[in-house]
Amino acid sequence: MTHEDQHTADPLARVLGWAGLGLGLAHIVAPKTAGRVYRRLAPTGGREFIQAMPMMGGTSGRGLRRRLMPTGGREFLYAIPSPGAGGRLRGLPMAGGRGLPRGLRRALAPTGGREFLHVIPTPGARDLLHMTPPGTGRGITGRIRTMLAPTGRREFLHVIPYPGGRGHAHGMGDHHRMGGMRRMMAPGRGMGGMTRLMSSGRMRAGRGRRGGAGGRIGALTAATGLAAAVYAAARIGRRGTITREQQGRELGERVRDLRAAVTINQPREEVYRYWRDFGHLPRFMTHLESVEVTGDGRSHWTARGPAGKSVQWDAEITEDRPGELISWRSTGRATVPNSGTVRFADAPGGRGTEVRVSLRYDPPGGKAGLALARLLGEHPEQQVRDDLRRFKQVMETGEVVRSEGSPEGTRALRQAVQRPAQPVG
Amino acid sequence: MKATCWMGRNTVEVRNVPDPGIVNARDAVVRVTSTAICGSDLHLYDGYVPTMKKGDILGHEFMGEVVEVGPQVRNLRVGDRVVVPFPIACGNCLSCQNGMYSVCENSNPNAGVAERLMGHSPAGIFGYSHMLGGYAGGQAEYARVPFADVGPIKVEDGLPDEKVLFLSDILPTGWMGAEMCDIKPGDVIAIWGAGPVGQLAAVSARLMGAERVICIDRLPYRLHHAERAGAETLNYEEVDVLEALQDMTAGRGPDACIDAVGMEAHHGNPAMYAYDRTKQATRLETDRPYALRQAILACRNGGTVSVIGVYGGFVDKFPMGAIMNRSLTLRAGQCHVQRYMRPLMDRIRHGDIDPSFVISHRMRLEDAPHAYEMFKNKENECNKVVLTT
Repeated sequence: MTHEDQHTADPLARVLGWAGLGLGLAHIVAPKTAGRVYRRLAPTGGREFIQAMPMMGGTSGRGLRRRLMPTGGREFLYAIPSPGAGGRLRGLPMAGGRGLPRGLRRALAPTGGREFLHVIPTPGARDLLHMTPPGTGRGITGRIRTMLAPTGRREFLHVIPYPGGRGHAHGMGDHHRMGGMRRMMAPGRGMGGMTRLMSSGRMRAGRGRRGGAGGRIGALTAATGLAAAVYAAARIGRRGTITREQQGRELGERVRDLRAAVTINQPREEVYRYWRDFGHLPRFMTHLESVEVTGDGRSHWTARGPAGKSVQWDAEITEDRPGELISWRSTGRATVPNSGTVRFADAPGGRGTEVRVSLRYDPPGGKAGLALARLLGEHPEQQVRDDLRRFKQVMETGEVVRSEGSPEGTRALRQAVQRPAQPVG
Repeated sequence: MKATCWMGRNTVEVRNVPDPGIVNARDAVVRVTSTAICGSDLHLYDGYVPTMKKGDILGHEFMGEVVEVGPQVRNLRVGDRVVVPFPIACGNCLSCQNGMYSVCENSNPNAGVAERLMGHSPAGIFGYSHMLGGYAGGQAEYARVPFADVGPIKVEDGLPDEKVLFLSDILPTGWMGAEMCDIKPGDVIAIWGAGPVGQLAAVSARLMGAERVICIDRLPYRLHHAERAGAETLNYEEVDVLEALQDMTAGRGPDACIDAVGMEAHHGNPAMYAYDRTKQATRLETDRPYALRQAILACRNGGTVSVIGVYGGFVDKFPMGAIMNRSLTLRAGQCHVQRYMRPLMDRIRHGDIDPSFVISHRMRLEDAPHAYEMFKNKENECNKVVLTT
C-alpha cells in the first residue's frame, strides 16, 4: 500500500511548499511582520540543549543558560529543577524581561501550534481519525488525516520555521555565541545540508542590520519553500506514473487496484488449500454472504453491497498453481467487474506463509461512489486488510476473534464506533 | 451481574450488566472470586488512556472458578479454580510461540486502531481500552476469558486466592522487570516507583541475585513495604536522586534501572510537575516521563533500563542522547504473563515468594468506586486493594 501513502503526502507537501514560499516572500516584503510571525513559530535550536542542563544537575550552568535562553521561557521551566532556581523564576530575565505569566503561557503553548500536532495521538482527535481508516489520502477526512498524520510529514513542518525563526527571536549577539551550537544541531533538523548552509548565512547576517538579515533569511526561506513546492510537484508527478502503471486496460480507467499482505504461521500448502475452497472466503471476508463453488473452477458469489443491497456474480479461476497462486475473475455482466490474485510464499526462517492479495475492481458509481463509500467508512483498502487479519485469525486460531467492543470481530466501521466493553446480553 | 464500569474520567460505578456467555469456541466463563485494582487501572481512571468508552468493564487482575467452557477448551472443566493472565493471547501465532504473549498477533480485534498509534498492534487486554481490544474486564462477578485453553492457570493445591491472585499481573510484571535487567552477581538495581509492582520487582531482583536493590518513591509507607522486600530506599522529595545514586554506587550508577512508574509520574519540583502535567492535561503530550528520564540518566554506562511502567503514547524531552552515547540498553514490554505463571506458581508453592504482602485493603466488589478513589489519592496508606465478590 505504499503507493497509497504517497498519495496522502501530496496535498500536505503541496500546501507546505507554497506556504514556505509565501513565508519567504513575506520576509522580503514585510520583514517586521514576518519576524513577529516567526517568533511565534520559532522552534528554536539550541534551546533543546538547555533542557539537558537541569538534568545534568547543578546551578553552575545558570549564566550560560541565561545567555542561551532563546525564547519566551518555556525551556526555563526545564531549568528549574536545579534546587532553588524556582524561587528566582520571577526575577529572571526571560528573553527580554517578560514576567512569569507570559513566560508560562508561552511555555505551555510555545510554538504557534507546532505542539498542536502532538494532539493527534490523543483520544479525541484520534477517534475522529478512526472514522476513516488508514491508507487513503483523498476525500475530505483523508485530507484532515494527512494534516494530522503524526510522523514523517510533521517533521517536514519544522523545516519551514527553521530558516528564519531564530534570526528574529534572539538578540543579534546570540547569533554569534550560539553559532557553533546551532551548527551542531542544525544537521539533525531534517534538511541537513541546506539548513547548515542557511545557519551560516544567517550568522554572518546576524552581525549586520536586522533588515539585511531578514532579507537574506527571507530569500532562503523562499528557496526552501520553492524546494518544498518542487518536491511536492515531483511527488505528484510520481504519483501519476504509479497510477498509470496500476491501471489495467481490461477494466477501463476507473479501475481500483488494492493490495494487502499478511504473514500466517501455518504451512504454505495448508494456507493455499483453505483459500482454494472459495466456500471458505465468507468466513473472513465479511462483505461476502456466500460463495458457492459450482465446479470446474467456477463459482457463484453473493455480496452485501452498499445500502444493504445484495450483489451477485459468477467467477472463474483463471490460474491455479497449487501452493503458490490462485487467480480469479468475474464473468458475464457483473455489476462490479472484479478480479483477484492471491500468492503464497514461504516466509523466511520458518516464519510461516506470506500471503499477498491483489484485487482489482470497477467500483459502482466510479470515483464519486468510491469517495462516498469512504466517507461512510467503507474503505476498500481497509476492508482488504481487515479480511486478511481475519484470515490470519481463522488460520491460526480457528475462528474470527471477537471482543465485547467488537462482537463481529475486526471491522473498520466497528473500530470507529465501539460497543462498550460489556457482555452483549 | 454486577460489574465495575468506567463512566468517564475519575468515575467508576458498580452497575448491573448482562452476564457473559461463550462467544468463541475457545472461551471460558469464570465466576470471579478475587480481583485487584492495578496501578495501571488508575491511568484509565484518570482518563489518560485513549479509546475508553462509558460503560467499559474494568479489571485485568482476577481469578475465580470456571462455570462454563467453550467446545474447544479441553484443559479446563467447570469447577476448576484458575488465575487469568491479563494479556489475551492465542498461543498459535509466531509471537505467542516465541513466548511473546503480550504481543499476540490475533487477540486484538481492534488492531487497526492500535496500529495507527503504535505502528503495530499489541495483544488485547482485559478491561483496558478499545485500542487494546475492547474486552470486558474482571472487576465483575463473571468474566469471559478468550483463549481459555492457553492463558488461565489452574490452582490445584488449595493455595488461598491472596497468594496466587497476583500471578495475573503484578508478580510476573515485577519479575519480568527484573529479568530484563539481566542481573549478574554484584549488580545494583534501582527501581523507580515503590508501588506493588516495584515492591515485587525488588523481591524478584533479590531472588535473581542482585547485590543491592534501591527503591525510589515519595510515600513513606510504600518505601516501608520496599524495605520489607529487601530494598534500600530513597525518598525523592528528600534527596536528589541522581546524586544519591551516584553516591551509593561510588560514581558508577546502578547497573540497571527499572521504571515501575509509567505515564503519570510525579515530580518533586512543583514547576516541573506543572509543566508536564499541563501539557498532558491539554493533550500536548500523553505521558509524563520523569521517572523514565531520571532512570536513563542514572543508569551506569552500558547498563540497562527496563520499563514495566505503562506508557500510552508519546513523551517529550526523551534523553535519547544519553541512551545512544552511553551504550544503554532500553528494554520494555507489557508482561508476557503466560510465560511466567507456572514457574512463579512453583516458587509460591515452595515459599520463595509470597506476594500477598502487598495487600493493604480487602474490600467488596460493591466498594470499587471508593477503592479507586482511595487508591488514586493514596489515602489510608493504600498499597493494593483486593476486591472479593
